[in-house]
Amino acid sequence: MNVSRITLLISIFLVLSGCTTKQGAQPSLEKLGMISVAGFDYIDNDNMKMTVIMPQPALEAEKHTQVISVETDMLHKGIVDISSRADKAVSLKQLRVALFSEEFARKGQMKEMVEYLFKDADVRSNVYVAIVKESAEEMLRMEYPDKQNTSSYINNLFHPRHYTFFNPFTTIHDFVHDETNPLRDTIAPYVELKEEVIHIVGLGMFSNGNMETIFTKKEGKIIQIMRGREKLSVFALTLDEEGKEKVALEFVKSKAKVKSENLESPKVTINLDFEGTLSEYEGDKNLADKKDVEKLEKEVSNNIEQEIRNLIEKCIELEIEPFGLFESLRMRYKGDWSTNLTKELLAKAEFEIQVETKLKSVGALK
Amino acid sequence: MDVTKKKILNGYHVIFLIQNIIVGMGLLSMNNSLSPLGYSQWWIPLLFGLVANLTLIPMIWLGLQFKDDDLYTIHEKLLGKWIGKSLNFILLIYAIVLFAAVIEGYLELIQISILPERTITGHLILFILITVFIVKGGIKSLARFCMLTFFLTGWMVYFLRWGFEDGEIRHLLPLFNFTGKELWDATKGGFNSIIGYELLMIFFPYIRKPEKAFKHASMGIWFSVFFYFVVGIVAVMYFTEWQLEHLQFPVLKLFQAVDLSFVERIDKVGVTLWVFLILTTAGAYLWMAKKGVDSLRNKNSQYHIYSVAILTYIVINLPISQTVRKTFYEKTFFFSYGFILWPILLCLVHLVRRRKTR
Repeated sequence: MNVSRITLLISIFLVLSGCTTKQGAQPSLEKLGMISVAGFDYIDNDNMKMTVIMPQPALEAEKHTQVISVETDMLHKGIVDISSRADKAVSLKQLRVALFSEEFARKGQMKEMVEYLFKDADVRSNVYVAIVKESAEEMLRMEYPDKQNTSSYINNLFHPRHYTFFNPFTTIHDFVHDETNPLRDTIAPYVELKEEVIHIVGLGMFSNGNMETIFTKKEGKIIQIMRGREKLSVFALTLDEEGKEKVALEFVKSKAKVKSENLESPKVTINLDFEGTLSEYEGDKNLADKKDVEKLEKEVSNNIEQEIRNLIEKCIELEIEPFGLFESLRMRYKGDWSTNLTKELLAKAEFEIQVETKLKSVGALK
Repeated sequence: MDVTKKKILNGYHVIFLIQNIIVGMGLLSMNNSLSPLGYSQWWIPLLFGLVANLTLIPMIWLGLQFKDDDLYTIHEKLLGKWIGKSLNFILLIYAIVLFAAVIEGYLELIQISILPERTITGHLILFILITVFIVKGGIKSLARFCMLTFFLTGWMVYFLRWGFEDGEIRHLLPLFNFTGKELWDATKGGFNSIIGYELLMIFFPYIRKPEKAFKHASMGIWFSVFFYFVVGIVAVMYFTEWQLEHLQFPVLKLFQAVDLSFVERIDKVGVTLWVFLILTTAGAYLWMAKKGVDSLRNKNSQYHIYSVAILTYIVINLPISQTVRKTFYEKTFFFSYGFILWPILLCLVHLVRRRKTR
C-alpha cells in the first residue's frame, strides 16, 4: 500500500472519530440549551442572582422558554449550576441580551460582569446590554401574553429600530470601549417593567464603572446626535413656555461637528446641521408662508441649542462626559490622555453652539 | 510534479509564496503586539514593509551570486564544510521550531475559540498530515496552494467593513504619540508578524527568472503589508487603547462585529478559514526543514519530510510547561531577526573572498 493510501486511511479514522457518542463528548445540537437572555441581580458584594432564558425548540413543550435562576459568585460557576438544573448542556454561544439590575450597576458590578463576558470566547461582542429598574429576574420570569415568547420579545426589543434612536443600543463591545476610553463615559439603555410591557425609559449614565444617574429619552436623543448618529427619527419639541406651539420633526439627515481647541482655556465648538420634514405642527404660524417657515426653523434651532446647553450644564454638574467632546484636542495631544484630564477640561471649557435646521417640506397640506 | 526539476517557480508563484508565508498567526495578534504604540500603531506595518524590503536586497544579491544554490549550500561554499554544516543544523532547528510554533499557536486558538472541550492531539496529527501532503509535491505544490489560499482567504477583508463603520476615524491621529522605547518594544514584539520572506533564500534557486525575483518578492511583501495596514487602521478605529492592549486576537473581535441577517458568529468562520493561511506558513517551514535535512545528509529524499513531521509531533508533545515553551518560541522569533540580517554578513564574506581570489 502506498503512502497516500495510508494517509487517507488515517485521515478517515480521525475524521470519523468525531462521530463517537462517548459520554461527555461534545453534545449534539438538540441536547444544547442555548441561553439567549441572561439577567443579573444584586445580592451582596460577593454574590449575585443569575437568571437565564433558553428557548425550547420542542413542539410538545407547553412553554416556549425555560427560565432558571441560581445564586452564584462567579459567572461560570453559575452556568454549571444552571446546567445541573436544566435537562440540557447549557451554553452562552447564542447569548443576545444581558440585563443588569439597577442596584447591580450602581454597585459597580456590571462593569466587572460585562468585562468577563467580553473576555469569554463563547460570547459574541455584539450582545446587547441594558439596565433594569428593579429586578432582572422578574423581567425574565414575567409572562408576556401577547408576545410569541419572552426570548424573542426581549431580543427584538433591544435591536436598533428607527423610532428608538434615543436608545444607544449598547453592546458588550461598546460598553467596554467607552468604559476604557478616557474621553467619554459609558451609557446603556434603562428599561422598566410597566403594565406587563417592557419600556425603554431612558439611559443609565456611568462614571468610573458605577452607574451614576439616569438621563431621559430626550437627553438620550441629544447625546446620540452629539455622538454623531446620522440617522435620526422623530424629534418632538415644545417651542414656547406655555406649551401652545409644538412641532414634531422627522429628520432626514443630521450632521454634528464637535471641535475643541486650546488645552489651557478649552473652547468647544459644536455645529449641528439638520435637514428634515415637519410631520406635525400645532401653533399659530402659517406654514404656507415662507417667512413663517424660516421663523419656525430658527425657533427650532434655538430650542435645540438650549436643550444642548442645559444638558451640558447638567453633565458639568454631575462630572460626566457622555459625548466625547475633546477628541479633537486628543488628536494633537502628546502623551497618555487621562479621565481626570477630560473632567478637568469639561469643568473649565467654554461652549459655542450653532444649530441650523432646514425644513425640506412642511407636509402635503396647505 | 516537478519535485526533481529545478527552475520551476514563475513570478506569480514567488509573489504568492512570499505573501502567504508572511501572513500566518501574526496578523491575528499584530494589533496586540503593537499596542505599546497605542493608536499610532496603524502606520507601523508600512515601516515594517520598508524594513522588509530593504533587508530583501542582500538576500536577492546573494542569491544572484549563487544562482543554483540555496542558503544551505551557500553556507558550505562560503564558510567551509564544518562551519557551514553547523549553521545549517541551527537553521534546521529554527525551521522545526517555527513549524511547531505556528501549528501550536493555531491549535491553541482553535481550542480557545472553537473546541474548548476537546484536546488538540487529533487535530495536530491531521494538521501535520495535510502539511506533509502539500510539501510532498515540492515547492511548486506549496506555491500553488499559496495561490489557492490567497483567493480563499483574501476576501475576508470585507468583514472589516462593520468595524470601519462603527469605528472612530479620529483615533488615527496623532501619528507619533509614542516614545523611542515604546517603538522598540512594539517592533520587538510585532515585527515577527512580517517574518517569513527570509525563506526566499531557500527557494531562490527554483525561481525561473532570478533577475526579476526582487520585484516579485517585493510585491509579495507589499501585498501582505496592505492586509496588515488595512487591519491596523480598522482595529485602531474600532478599539480603545486598552482593548488593543488586552485583546490577544483583535481580528477575531473585528469579525464578531459583523452583523449579517443570515449567519452569525463570523469569527468562527474566520478562524476556520484561517487554517489555509497557517497551512501555507507551516508548510513553508516544513519544506525548509526538509531541505535542511537534505543538505546535512547530502541526500535528497522524501522520507526527510516524514522524519521532520514526526520529530515536530514529538516536540509539540514533549512534557514541557507552557511558559517555558512560549518563551522558547518567542526567543526563536527573535532569532529570525538575526536570520534576516544574516545575508548582509554573508555578502561581506563573499566580497572579501572574491577580492582575495582575484
